[in-house]
Amino acid sequence: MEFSDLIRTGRAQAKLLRGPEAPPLRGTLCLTGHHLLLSPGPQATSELWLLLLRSVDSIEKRVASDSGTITLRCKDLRVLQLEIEGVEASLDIARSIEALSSLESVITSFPFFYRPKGLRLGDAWHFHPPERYYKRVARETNAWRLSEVNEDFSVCPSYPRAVIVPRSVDDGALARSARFRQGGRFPVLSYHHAPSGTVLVRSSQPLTGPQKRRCAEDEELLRAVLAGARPGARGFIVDTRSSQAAKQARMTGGGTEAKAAYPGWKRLHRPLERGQPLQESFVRLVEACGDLQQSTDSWLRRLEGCCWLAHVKEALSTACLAAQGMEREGACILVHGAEGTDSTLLVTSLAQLILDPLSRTMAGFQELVEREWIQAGHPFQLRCAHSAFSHARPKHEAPTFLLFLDCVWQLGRQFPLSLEFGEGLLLALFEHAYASPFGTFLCNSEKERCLCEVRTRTHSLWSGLNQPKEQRKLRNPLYAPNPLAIWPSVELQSLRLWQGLFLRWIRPPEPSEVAWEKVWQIVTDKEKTKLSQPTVSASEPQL
Amino acid sequence: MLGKGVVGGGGGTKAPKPSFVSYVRPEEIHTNEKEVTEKEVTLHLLPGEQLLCEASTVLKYVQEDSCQRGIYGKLVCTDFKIAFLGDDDSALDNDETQFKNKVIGENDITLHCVDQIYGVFDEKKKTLFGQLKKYPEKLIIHCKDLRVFHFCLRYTKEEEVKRIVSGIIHHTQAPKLLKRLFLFSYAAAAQNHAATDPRNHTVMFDTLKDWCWELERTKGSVKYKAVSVNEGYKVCERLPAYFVVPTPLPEEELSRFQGHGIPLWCWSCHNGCALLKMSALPKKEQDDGLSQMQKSFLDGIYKTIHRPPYEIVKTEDLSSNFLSLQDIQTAYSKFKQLFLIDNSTEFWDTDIKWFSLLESSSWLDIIRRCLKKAIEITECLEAQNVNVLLLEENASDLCCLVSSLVQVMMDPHCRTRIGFQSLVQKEWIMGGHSFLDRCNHLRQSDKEEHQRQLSLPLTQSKSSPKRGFFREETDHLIKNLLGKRISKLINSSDELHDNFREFYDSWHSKPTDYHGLLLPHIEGPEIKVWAQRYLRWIPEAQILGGGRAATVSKLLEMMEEVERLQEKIDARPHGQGALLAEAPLLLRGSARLSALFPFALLQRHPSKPVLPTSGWKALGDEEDLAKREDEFVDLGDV
Repeated sequence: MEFSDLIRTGRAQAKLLRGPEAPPLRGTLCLTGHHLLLSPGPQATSELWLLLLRSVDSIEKRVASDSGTITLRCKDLRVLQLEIEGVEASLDIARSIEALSSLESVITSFPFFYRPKGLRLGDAWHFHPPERYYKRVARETNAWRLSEVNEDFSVCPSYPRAVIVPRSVDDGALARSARFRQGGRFPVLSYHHAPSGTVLVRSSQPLTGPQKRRCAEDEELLRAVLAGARPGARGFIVDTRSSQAAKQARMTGGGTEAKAAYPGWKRLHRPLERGQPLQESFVRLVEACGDLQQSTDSWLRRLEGCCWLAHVKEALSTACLAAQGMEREGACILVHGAEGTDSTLLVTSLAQLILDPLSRTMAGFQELVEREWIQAGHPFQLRCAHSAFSHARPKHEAPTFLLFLDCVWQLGRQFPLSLEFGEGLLLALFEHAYASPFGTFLCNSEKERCLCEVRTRTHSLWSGLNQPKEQRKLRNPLYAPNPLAIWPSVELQSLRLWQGLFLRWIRPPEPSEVAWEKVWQIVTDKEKTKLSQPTVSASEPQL
Repeated sequence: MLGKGVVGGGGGTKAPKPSFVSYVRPEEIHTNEKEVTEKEVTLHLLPGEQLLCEASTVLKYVQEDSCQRGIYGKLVCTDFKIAFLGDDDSALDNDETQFKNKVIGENDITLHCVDQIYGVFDEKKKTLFGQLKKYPEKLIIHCKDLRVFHFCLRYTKEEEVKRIVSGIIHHTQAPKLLKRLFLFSYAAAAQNHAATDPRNHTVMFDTLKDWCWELERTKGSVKYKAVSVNEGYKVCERLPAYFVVPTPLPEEELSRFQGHGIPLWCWSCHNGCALLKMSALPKKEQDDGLSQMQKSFLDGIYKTIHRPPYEIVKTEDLSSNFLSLQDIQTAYSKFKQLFLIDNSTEFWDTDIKWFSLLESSSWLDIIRRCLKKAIEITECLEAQNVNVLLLEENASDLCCLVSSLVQVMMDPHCRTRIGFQSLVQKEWIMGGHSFLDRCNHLRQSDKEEHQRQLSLPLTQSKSSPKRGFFREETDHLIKNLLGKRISKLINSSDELHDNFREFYDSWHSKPTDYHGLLLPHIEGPEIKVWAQRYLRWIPEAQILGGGRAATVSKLLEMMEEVERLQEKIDARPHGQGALLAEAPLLLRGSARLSALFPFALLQRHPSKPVLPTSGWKALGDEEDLAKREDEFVDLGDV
C-alpha cells in the first residue's frame, strides 16, 4: 500500500492555532505520508511547522460555508486547531490524517525513514545490552551468571536474548521454570544491591492453577536466589495484586507461590491498578486539567475522583517497600503481578532509582529504562497506541510507563539535587513513548524488534538525546551525586500534580523555564570561574 | 565503592542527607516497647516567668507512633508555658541547634497556644474543662500551631496528676485579665532593648510623622492629609491616634459619628487613586430624622472623594457580598482537624480521603476568594483609575485582610521584610483588628468562637508568594508557584467579570516585572495547602534532606561561591581579601533539614517500624538493619 493512496488533497491554505500563548500561523499546509507541514509564506519570519502524524490522538472536524476547522488532539496532550480554506480540501485532509495516524504497520512507520544529520545508524543500539549490566553485577557478586537460554526467544518471547540468573541453576531448569510461569517469564535478576548483598528479582505469576501445581525447578530457582545472597537469607514476594485477586487468578490457571513450597519467602500483597482502570484514570485527569471553568472545590473533587495521584502513591510506596526490604531488612525481593510486564516493572525500576545512585545519573537512568522497560518486554506498542484523547475504546492501552515517569518526577521534586536528569528528559520520554521518529519504543518485545530489524534500520532515541545540543534541556543543573538511598514521602499530602506535563499546554511553562534558565546561568558562571579545575563528569557511570 | 566511583561535580559538595522513613503501614507493626530513659533536664525560665505546678514520671508518647512508646520526664506549667522536661537537646547535631528557638523549646507549649485539651478515661477521649471530678490517665493537648501532645499520667502520683491537670486547665481556660498576660511581666523583667538599627526599622504608625512619611512614599499627600484629631482617643477608641483622611474633609466632621462613616486612607496607587476603608454608620430603624441626617452626612463625605470626572469612587461592601466571618471560622476549624493528627493510624486514614476532606473544608476556596477579591480591587485601582472604598461594619476584619493583600500585590515595598512588617502594623494593628477577641487570648467564654482566626487567611494567602517577597533572588519563583485561568465570579456582574478577566489574562500573558505589580494565579490547581505551616508536625509528610529547602540551600551556596570567587579575582594585592572571611552560611551542613525547613521538627525520634518478619523471626539473629542509621559519606574527602 502506498501512502499516496490515502492522500487525496495534499495541499491547502490554512491557519494554525496553537493555544492561547503562541501566535496563530498562516501558510500552506502540506500533508505527507508521515507529517503535517505548515510552510508560512515567503514574507513570514517564522520557520516551518512540522507535526508527526503518529502523534495525533484524536481528530475532530467542523465545516462552514467555505472552510473547515480541524481540531487535533495530540498524544503529548497538546491541542491544535487548523482552519483550512475549502470544505472539500479540509474534509480530505481530515480523513487522511485520521487514516495515516492510525496505521499499524511497524516497518512503514517514520523511524524507518528518519535519517537525521549527525547520527549514524546503529550508533547507540549496543549502548545498553544486558551484558553491560551483567559486567557490573559480576564485579559485585559471583552468585549470578548470564544465561543465553533464550537465545532464539523460544523459552520466553518477551525476554531479551540474555538474562541474568543464579549461577547454580542450569539452562534446563530455567526452561522448565519458564513453563511454570505465565508467558515463560521465569524469575530473573533485576538489580543487585551491593551494600546489603541482596537482590531484586522479577517474574510473572506462577501457573499454580486450581490444582495447586508445583514446579521443582521453579522452587529450586528461588532457593538459589536466597542462597546466592547469603546463607540463611530470607525473601519477600511482593505481589502487585490483592491476595483475593491472586487467589482468583488460580481459576484461570495462574495464582501465587504457595508458602510451603518456597521456604524462606514471605508474601506481601500490594494491589496496584493496571490496564483499563489506569487508562481511565489518565483520561479523567486530562479531562479535568482541560476544563477551563472550575473553582478550587470542583478541581479537588475531580483530582480525587480520577485517582491518578492515589496510583502514584501506591506505586511509590510499593517500590519503597521493596527497597526497604532490601536495604533495611537485608531481604531478597521477588516482584510479580500477573503477566509481569507492567506493574512489576514499575516497582522494580522505581526501587532501583531509590536505592541505586548510578541509576540516578543521566546514563544510568537511560540504561534503567532500556533494561527494565524496553528489553524487559513492556509492550509499548500495545500500551501506548493511544493517549488520553482517543475516542477508540482502550483494549490494551495503559499509561503504566507514564505512571513510572510521574513517580520519577515526584522523586525528583522531593530530592531536587539527587537526579542528574531533569523534567526535560521525563517529558521527552513521555513524548517519544507515544510517538517518535526514533525506533527505541517501537514494538512490544526484543523478539519483535529483532524481526522488524529495528536496531539496524532505525535510529536510537538515546543517541538522539545524547547529542550535546539536547543536553541542556534534559539535565538537572543542581545535580550533586548522592550515594545514599533516597526515601520519598509517599503520602498524598506530599505528592503534587505533575503540572509540567498535565498542564504543559494549558498554562505557559515560561516562568519555570525562566527560573531554570537563571539556574543554568549561575551554574555555568560557576563552571567558568573554575576553569582551572577540570571535574570528572558524573554522567559517566564509573565502572 | 560508590563513594570512590562518583566524584562530586560541584565545589560545595557535602555529606548528603539520609532520608529514610518507613513504608510499613501501622497495622503491619507488632512492637510494643517503652523506652525508659528519664533524664534530668532543667527548666528554662524566662525573666519574669514563674513555675506554677509540676508532675514527674509523666510519659510523653512519640506522636508518630501508635505503639505507645515514649519518654519519661517531668511536666510543668508556668505562667507562660506548659513544658515537658525529658528530651535531651544535646542529642541534636551542632548545626541543628543553630536553628533552635531560644524562647520556646520543642516540648514547650505556650499557654495561649493551647487550643483544646482532652483527657482519656478508659480509652475514651473527652474534652476537659472546668472542675474535674475524675482525673484522666492520659492528657492530649492540641495546639493552635497544630502540634499534638500525648502525655500519659498512669505512672504519676495521684496528687501530682490532680495538681498538674487542674493547673493546666485553669491557666489555659479560665478567663484572664489583660494585665495578667505573661508578656507584661516579661516586659517588666526584661527591659533592656537593644538599640535598633534605623535601617531595620518597622514603621509603627503611632506618630503623625509615620503617616506623613507613608503619604510621601506613596505620593498620596496631594489629596490626603494626616490628622491628629483623635489624639488621646477623644473621638474614638477603635481608631488610631493619628490617621489619614481626604484633604477637603473638614476636621469637625470626623467626630460626628465617632469615626464611623469616615473614609480612612490606606494606600495610594502610582496613578493617584487611593484605597480607602470606612466603617458603616450604625443602622437606625425608623428614626427618619436621624437617617436623613446620616444620608446628608454621607453625601457630603462622598463628594470629597467622588468628583467626576476628576475622581470616581467605587464602593466595595465587604459585609454584604463577600465572605462572612462565620464562613471563615467554620472552614478553618474543619481544615485544621486534617492536621491535628493523634497518631499514625489516624494519619493513614485521612490520607486515603485527603482531597475530599480538603475540599469539604472549603478552606482553599476561601483563600481563592480572598485573592480574587484583592485582584478585583487591584483592577479598579490600576486599570480603571478609580478610588476604591472598602466598607465593613467596623472596618477591622475583612477590610484589613483585603487592603493588605492589595498592597502586597501592588506595592513592592510591602514585599520587603521591613515593608511587610510595617504593613501588618498599619493595616492590622493600627487598623484596629481585634486580635484579643478574634484569637480569644483572654479566654472569654462569652465571646463568640466564630470571631477567631480571621488573620489566618492573610497568612495563608501569602503562603505561595512569600518566598519571593522576602528574597529578591527567588522572585522569579513566584510565578512558578502560581497558575493561570480563571473561574466563575461569585456575586458579580458580567461587566465586572469581563473587566476582571481581561485584566487578569493580559497581566499573565505579559512578562512579569517582579518589582512591580504581581498577581497570583487563582485557578484550582494553583491554590495549594501551605505545607510548611500545616504539615510541619506530621512526620509522614516530611522529606528529610529534600524538598525546596535543598534547592534553596544549594542555590544560596552556589551564589555565595560565585561571589567569593569573584571577590578573590577582584581582591587587591595588599591582602584586603583576607577580610572577606567566609560569612557563616546559614544552611551549610544542613545535614538533616527536612523539606519543611525551617518549620519542621528538628529532632526525629528513631522510630523505624520494620517489616512484619514474625514469620521467620525465630531463625534470624542477624544484625538488625532497620535500626541502622544511614551512614554519612563525605564526598568532599574523596
